[in-house]
Amino acid sequence: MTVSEEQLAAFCVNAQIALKPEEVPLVLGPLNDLLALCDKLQELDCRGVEPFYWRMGRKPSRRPDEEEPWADRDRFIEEAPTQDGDFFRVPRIMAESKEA
Amino acid sequence: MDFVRMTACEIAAGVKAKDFSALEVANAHIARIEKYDSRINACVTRCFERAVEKARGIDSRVAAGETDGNLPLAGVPVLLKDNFCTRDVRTTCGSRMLENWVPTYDASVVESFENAGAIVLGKANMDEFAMGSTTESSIFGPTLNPRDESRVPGGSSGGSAAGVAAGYCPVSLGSDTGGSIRLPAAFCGVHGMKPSYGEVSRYGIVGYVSSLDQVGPFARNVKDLSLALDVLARPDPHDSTCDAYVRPRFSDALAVDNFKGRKIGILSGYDESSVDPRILEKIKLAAQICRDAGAEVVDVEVPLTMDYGVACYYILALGDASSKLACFDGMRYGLHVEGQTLFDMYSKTRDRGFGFEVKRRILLGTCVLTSGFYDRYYRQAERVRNRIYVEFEELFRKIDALLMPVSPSLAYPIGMVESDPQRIYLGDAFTVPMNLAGLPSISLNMGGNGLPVNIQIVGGRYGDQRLLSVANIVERATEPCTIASFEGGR
Repeated sequence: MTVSEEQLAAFCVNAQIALKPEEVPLVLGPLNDLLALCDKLQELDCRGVEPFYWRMGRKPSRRPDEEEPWADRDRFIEEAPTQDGDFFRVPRIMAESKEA
Repeated sequence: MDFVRMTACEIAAGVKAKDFSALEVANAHIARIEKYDSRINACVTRCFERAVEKARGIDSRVAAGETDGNLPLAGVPVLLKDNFCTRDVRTTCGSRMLENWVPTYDASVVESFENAGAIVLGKANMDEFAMGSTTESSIFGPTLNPRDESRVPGGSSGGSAAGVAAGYCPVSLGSDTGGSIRLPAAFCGVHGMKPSYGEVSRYGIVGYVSSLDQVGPFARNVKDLSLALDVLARPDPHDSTCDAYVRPRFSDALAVDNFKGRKIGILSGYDESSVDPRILEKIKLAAQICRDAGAEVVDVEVPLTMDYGVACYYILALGDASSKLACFDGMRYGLHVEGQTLFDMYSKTRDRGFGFEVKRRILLGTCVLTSGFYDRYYRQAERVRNRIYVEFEELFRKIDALLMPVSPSLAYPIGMVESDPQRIYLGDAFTVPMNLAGLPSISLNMGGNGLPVNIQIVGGRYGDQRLLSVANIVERATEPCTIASFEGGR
């Protein structure tokens, strides 16, 4: 399979990545090279083979399902690029209603 | 005393015996970094004041009579790859996205190392978000190879490997998703170990691909690798992928002095003409050392892995990385660039925060996860990975360890990544299979008259202790690994 410039533009939207016009061939070339390299996986008959998942060798680490308060709440808030008092400030995700 | 040439074991023993102080050791290594790092750029954040304070603390604990068992790394200076979260010390992943990010907690392995008495001198340079094999894509600029400053140190843990080779510390830590410990160890002429998947906690590591990443040590001798693994490998309730079983003492591997009854495989069935002859020569030497120690040495093949491993790896790694890096959205931590709308803000933040190689890999990963591509590529790669896992499971029922190259070539010149990315991707063919199958693997320095030459020794899953015993016997019969001279020689 090969990817067109239009398809790449759609991937950019999905990944929230903006490319400059001069960067487009620098992504498209390696992307199509990679797909050509990976097309060879189709040669393998994997009918009946389950997709891989990790079998933990012995037993996974577990911890009790208990509340574990962190002491540094204020520092977490400080980490946020934009804050408002006790909250992370994030952009509005829905348009404001005209009736409101 | 020549502290910078000492091993970690010698330093810890000397500090605990009060032959010298942790402070003297720290100061000697700090002086070495101050003298040479303007040349090679391996240490991107220095924590010298904090290190001096910690060293004084170790000396006080030793003076108060703390026993050996509590401080196996007493006074041992270390560098940490800059994707290990360190409380109050910035953690950048070599990216503008996290340029000023200061974590509020330590990664579990950092806590283990410091509790064992290690002194963190600083954070080591790396390819941005561990995406690369040359340590050229960091915002701090490239790290140079201390054995030959015209060449790359390998990556992505290039600063950690270069630091050990340069004598900044006897032990450092890195992470390995597809060879990011083993390749830089080979290029810089030190030892590097990727433990079995599940052996070491990844809690607090800014990961690249969860199902492939593993944390491991660099050192200049196998004894120090074992010591480091004894501290690193332990259950962690904060990482459910970290096995809860009681580990063996990995240092006990050093007591093994023969291979009678053991079978060692040499990888065959690949195009040997594509591999530097100096590497093939050292693999033959290691095989002879194993024979002399009583092992039966046999040629083995993993045809499916060699044919399909790289393609399988890139699909899975890039797909997972594109999902993982979605968390860098400019809202919770790291860089934030204002935008007109939510999506404008995302886009501007990610455009300014990520370097070009990271953006390229995210887009490649987004492609293989997109409807129409997913079944053909990602789903098929997951099935192929299962077959690769089984191929190694069957192989390690027949042999105890496998000898093979780390990379087809020795350290390459700076700038080659720009001119030939495809060649660099294919250079991963010998390292990525061990991540796909979760196998422990050591990149072992075998000397080299010019550039360093390493070989790779691979063990069965959870065979880390046995793997260390093989590396130890091979190491004993080869040239010792020294620090770079910085005076024109290697």
